[in-house]
Amino acid sequence: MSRVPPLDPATLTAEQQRVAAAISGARKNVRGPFTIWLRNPALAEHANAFGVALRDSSKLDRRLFELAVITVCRAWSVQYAWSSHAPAAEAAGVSPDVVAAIRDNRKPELKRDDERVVYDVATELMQTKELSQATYDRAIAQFGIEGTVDLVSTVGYYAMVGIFLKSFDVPTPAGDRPLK
Amino acid sequence: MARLDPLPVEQLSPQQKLIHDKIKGNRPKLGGPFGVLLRNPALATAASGLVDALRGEGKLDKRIYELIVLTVARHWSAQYAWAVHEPIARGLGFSEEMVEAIKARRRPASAKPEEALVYDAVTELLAGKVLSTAIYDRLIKQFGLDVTIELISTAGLYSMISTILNGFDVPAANGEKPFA
Repeated sequence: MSRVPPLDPATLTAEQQRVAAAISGARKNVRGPFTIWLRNPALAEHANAFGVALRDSSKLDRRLFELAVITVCRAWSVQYAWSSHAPAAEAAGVSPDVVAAIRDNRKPELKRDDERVVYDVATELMQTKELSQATYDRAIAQFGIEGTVDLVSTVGYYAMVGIFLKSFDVPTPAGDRPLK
Repeated sequence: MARLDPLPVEQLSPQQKLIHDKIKGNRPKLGGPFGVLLRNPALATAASGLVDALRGEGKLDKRIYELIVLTVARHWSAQYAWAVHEPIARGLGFSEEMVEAIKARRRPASAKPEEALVYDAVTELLAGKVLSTAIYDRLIKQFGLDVTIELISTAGLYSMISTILNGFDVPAANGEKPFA
């Protein structure tokens, strides 16, 4: 059970209703970290806007975005975010073998250069806390400056979301723990 | 030398210029994470909104805020963030022992009990753990849910900012390397 119960929709302030509507418009409904962030509507609004900008107006296509997201979710063992993004990654064209390898902490066999760059950037930043010049140069060659800004920001954003979800031990909808 | 110089102001698009001027405020120039994020104006806007929600409008005590920022910046060895925030922390009365202990990744002996609690919570989260029930319960008792949401969000936000700083190896303004 979540440490923080969702707010009763009947008790939302006008500001919370406005932000909840914006989040629902972008994400179908208010769930996961946003059920808790909504207690502070300014935080919920800007956290939602950052995530939506990464998802919808990034220079990276959805397949690469979701690959970055699941790599970060695995690095931080974020159960809730994994449960929503692993299916999204497969739907966006990340191979099920790759998703399973990342889930099990194995190095995935990536067949495309762009996917290798995304995986290496996310893994290096989360594990070594820095980005080697060689990997940075590969990212710039593959995605350009704007695409690299979007990629690194995606990694950072899901680190933030992960820390938040793990603080409140937000469960997956099924109540399982897909990441061992 | 920086990997990525901030765009010269005269090269900004009208949208970038608008956001640049809003975020820059009274700063002499806009650098650090915002110099990077301005490449994608929607990201810069949302990140600035998160900082405003937590630092400007937040209920979180300013000393606790800076304690979190320094602890997170030290974890990621984010040179720029440490160089900006160490003087702010000292200006709020942080002792030499507090600053040096955090820099050495030690729990500061001179921290007040509520500061030690926050230090323990943030280091536990950054170690990749689900926040323990014991610490979570103490946070709620000490700060209440609304401020706990702010302090966790601050730890997450500065992890995101540190990731962006490290991805682009953003140097401190005066070229110093506090963690060299």
